[in-house]
Amino acid sequence: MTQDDEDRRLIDAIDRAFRPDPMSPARRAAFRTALDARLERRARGGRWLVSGVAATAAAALAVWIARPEAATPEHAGASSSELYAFIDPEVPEYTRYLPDDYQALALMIEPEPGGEQ
Amino acid sequence: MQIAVQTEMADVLRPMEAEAFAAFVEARRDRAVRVAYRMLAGDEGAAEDVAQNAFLRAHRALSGFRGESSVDTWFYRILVREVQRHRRWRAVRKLWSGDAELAPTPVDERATGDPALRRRIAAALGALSPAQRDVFVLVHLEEQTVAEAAAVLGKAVGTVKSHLHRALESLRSELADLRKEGRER
Repeated sequence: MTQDDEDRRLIDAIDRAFRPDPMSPARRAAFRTALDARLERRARGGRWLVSGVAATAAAALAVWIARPEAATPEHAGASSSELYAFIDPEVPEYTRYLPDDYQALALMIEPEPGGEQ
Repeated sequence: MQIAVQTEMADVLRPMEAEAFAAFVEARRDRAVRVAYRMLAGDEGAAEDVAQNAFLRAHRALSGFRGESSVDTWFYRILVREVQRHRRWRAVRKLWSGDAELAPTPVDERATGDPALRRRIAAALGALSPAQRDVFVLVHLEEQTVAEAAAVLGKAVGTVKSHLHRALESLRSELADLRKEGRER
């Protein structure tokens, strides 16, 4: 008997002895039921995830739109100091921290930095 | 050959209706459980779990299957990855439970067959490295070619041959009596 024959014998012995029992119809059904349940759970989980994300996004948008600051006029657009800064970039930085009326006065009273050189 | 693969692909690539998926599972279930059982050195409960995980992943990934390999190669690659994931998870669980040494794999106690022989074979297979065991199972027990096993395992053909040689050498010495005439069960 050659080594190949002996190896074949060994492999056949392992093959015969080392395998699970054939599945009974009941076990097949149980396997299938468990697999279907997991597929269904995953599909439902996916749908919940999509609905959850959509609901959260909608809620966040609603909160953002309804926030109190959104209705306050000075936050609805640019402040006058911001407009001044846009029109005239030379407006001193510090005037931005003054109330709008004072900013107008400050612009009239105070010379622009470097403007008299 | 190419036409056969394309036909098979076309069958599988149809929208995964429940019926089509049921047929996919039915055609591969027994073999998937058997391969997992052998690669996990006889843990029957884990083998069924692993096979189910593989089918779940296949279900999710089937729409992305591009037909670069046969459906079976593609599916058994998923199965082998699930086996490997299970082994890692088991190793991590053992480490977390404070037992750094992996406990022997549980071997099912069935009324049929020879439980003692099954335990010996499980121990001998368990003594192989996971890579050697996977190659031995695919090539010698599941009768895949070396090239098919290499494709499933994502390894070079030469690497598969080398693992195969070492696995057989180890099993020859561990189960020497099974090689001798008249001693096989």
